[in-house]
Amino acid sequence: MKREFSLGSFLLVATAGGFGFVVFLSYVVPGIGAVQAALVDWAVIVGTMSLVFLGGLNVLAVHWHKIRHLEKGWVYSLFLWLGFGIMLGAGFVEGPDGELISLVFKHVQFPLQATIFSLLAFFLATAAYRAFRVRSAESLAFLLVAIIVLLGQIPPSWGIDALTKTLPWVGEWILSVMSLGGARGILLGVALGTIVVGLRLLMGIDRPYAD
Amino acid sequence: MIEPDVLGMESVIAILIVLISLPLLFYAHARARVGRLPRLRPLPAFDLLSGMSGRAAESGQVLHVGLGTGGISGPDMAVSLAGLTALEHLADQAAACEASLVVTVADPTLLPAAQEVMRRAYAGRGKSDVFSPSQVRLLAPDPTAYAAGVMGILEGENPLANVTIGAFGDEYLLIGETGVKRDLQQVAGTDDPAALAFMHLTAQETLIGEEIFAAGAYLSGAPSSVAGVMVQDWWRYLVVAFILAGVLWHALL
Repeated sequence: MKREFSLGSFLLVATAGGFGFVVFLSYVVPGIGAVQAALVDWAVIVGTMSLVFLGGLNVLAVHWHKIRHLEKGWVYSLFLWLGFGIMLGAGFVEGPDGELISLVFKHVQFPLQATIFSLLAFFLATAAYRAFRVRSAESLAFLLVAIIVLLGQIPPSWGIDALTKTLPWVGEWILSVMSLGGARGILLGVALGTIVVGLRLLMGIDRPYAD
Repeated sequence: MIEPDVLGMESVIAILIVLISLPLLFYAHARARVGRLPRLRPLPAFDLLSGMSGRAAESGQVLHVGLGTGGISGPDMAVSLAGLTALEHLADQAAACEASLVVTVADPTLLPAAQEVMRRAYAGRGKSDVFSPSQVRLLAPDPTAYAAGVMGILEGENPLANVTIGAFGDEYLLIGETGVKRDLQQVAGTDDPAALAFMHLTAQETLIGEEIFAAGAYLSGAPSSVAGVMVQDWWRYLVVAFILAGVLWHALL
């Protein structure tokens, strides 16, 4: 579909593309590092303001809607509003390093985060169980490679010289050649994709910021 | 932040890549606009995505789209934009059949971008009144807290499907396993090899690495998106040729 010309879109594309090229050039051309630093600072400020206003307001709005309509789990939303209010009040009264704020972070926020993250171990076990069920040639290969790598990690106490020397070597080879090669292939593809996406944005071919 | 390598070897390579890519991009774009499109290899993940909003509408269930922990002002910009491209298609389909769509983000800079994509999709279908900005939710900037928020949506809002395309790390496993437990249709894609392993284990279809950047080409068929895929492919052939030449050089000389 051919885009119709509009001055607003043109200005947006010119501004975004121009700033993008200045930042890119600052990595390769001397003398414009200060301009780049200023632009990056602006981006940081805009990002922070968006967290405080856009993000904060969005969270409050979504949970207010739940409380107002007494949707399932509205009590948790009420807790969020209470928590938000208490922390905001404490921040205004005590400052960002206040005692109450530190206390909540240390005894509520961090333990909760650690608890959720620790669930990963159990989730990993169920995912591994599903992956290791032999249903196809692919899952059989997956299982064999996993067994070899796992056995290769175990300290050499096999009593059989050939296995003691061979399995760690094979495990290491799988990790450092096959696995690393595959990961690098993915990363190369991602890098090429990122370059093309960046150029399309700078040239205004893609305009996620304008109609 | 990356230390600038002003006028060093890396700068020369960067300039060369840009100088070569620009004409290639224009050439590919011109070719795509006159209909000389390449044959795109089948990617089942995009086939599954195509009818997802319709299935959600038929079943009366929610479709969840997670755009990950990246934003549009950092190193995860490209992968986050790929997620937005997939969202563009899903939102358009959801607007057409009035499916219930919930979008989650972790980075506040991605929030207005996702809201804008949704607003445009609903406006394009003449259903601006149906769209609510609160369909796009910022859960939490922390990856673990974001994953916990998504788990809550998957457990509590009775979704039919879970689409997660964007920047994800180890925390994805919490989301993916919850989806498996709820027997959801799952499509996942990211650029992090570690998270990709988890996605492969939990999702029906996975978009691996650069495949996420082909979302526009597969889902909308727009010439600009197809041109991007063409340039990516040409670069890939060049990189493979360089690697092979390097291996031969190293082995023979």
